[in-house]
Amino acid sequence: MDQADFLLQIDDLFENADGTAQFDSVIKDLPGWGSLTFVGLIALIDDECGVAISPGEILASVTVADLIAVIESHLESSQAA
Amino acid sequence: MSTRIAAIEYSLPGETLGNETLAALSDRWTPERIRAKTGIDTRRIVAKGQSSADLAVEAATKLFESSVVSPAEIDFILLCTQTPDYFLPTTACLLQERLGIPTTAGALDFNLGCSGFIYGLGLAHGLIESGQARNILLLTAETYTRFIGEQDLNVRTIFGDAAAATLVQANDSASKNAGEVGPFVYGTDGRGAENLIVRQGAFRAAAAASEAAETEAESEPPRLFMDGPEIFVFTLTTVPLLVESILTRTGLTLDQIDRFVFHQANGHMLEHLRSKMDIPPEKFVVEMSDCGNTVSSTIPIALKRAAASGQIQPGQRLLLVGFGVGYSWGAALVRWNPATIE
Repeated sequence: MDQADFLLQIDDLFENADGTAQFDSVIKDLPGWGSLTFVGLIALIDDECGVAISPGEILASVTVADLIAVIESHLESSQAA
Repeated sequence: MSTRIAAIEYSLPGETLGNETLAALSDRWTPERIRAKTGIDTRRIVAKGQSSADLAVEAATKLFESSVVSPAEIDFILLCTQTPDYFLPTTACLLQERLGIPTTAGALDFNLGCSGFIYGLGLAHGLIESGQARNILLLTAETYTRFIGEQDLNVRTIFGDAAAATLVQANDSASKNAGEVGPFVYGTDGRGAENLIVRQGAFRAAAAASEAAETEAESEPPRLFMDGPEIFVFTLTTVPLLVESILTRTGLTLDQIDRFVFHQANGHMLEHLRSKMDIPPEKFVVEMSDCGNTVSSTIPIALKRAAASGQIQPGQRLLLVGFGVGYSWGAALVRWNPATIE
């Protein structure tokens, strides 16, 4: 996955200025985080990476970098399968 | 002999709930944002004293007034609802009397939500194919807004009240384009129960509670809880496999389906599913902006409206897909050839 582009997609989803989301940003502290963007984030990850990540995995990811690591782990598993 | 959907009518209650009203309850929401994330502008809400059965009577009365069938010809009533008039008696029995349907008709309620229309169609098909009935009144009626508190925007932005009356009829025509329904594919996963649930008002909580807790539980109004992210993941993992499964069952490809009518859960979710499955927009029916998610009535309402607008034409092959609370899901192939189209 293109990690820099993923950050911009999060900014777009959360309706923030480009550059707001950083790898060390705490997801739940990002402006715009809420029930709608939570669902939107699941959709974004499914769209961009083809991974249906569980809500629990998102909630367990503190930072954007943590989330990217979870997504990459899914991608590796699907490639190995 | 086959089975066809002969006619559909529906009823929406008179009160409306718009995005402006909802946005005013929270500084995190705007009317435009609600529209963008749900695909809904307004919802229709039952008036005080109005029940799901009342809406069902209105929808069925419209069906009878269209002259496609008379109450005297109905030999079975199937009512899908999770908001019945009473625990007992069966609301379908009350509707037999209210609608003037003969006492020789069978009648039953079944408790399903967003998959309910598919299951009702499947039950009706079974009754017809086995020679037990010929003119089935399939009613879907729901008033989820009764379960929703004023401040609970998570679900209040989504759900509206409605009922639909569908005439499912034995079809003696041997014509290639005669209406028919089936095959069907079903699925169930009770592990999802906790993600869309009304806990209060029935007996599980009372059975487990102490006397004090029971008294407290009785004073608590039944409330709808929905874990939106979990429901979303359920749909995006289940629905594509469901579509694949029914296509395999029928031996058809996606391209051979003329129109797709999914449960109208949420506009954002529908668009995501459509895009994920590469369904062309012109083949994908979306009819929910002015009434919201009406649970088991979304598919018949969408069918009726798409037929009225010309998006669905007689002879077309439709794929109907329902999914939701339970979890429960189902899909049906339908050859559209109703008795009347307004």
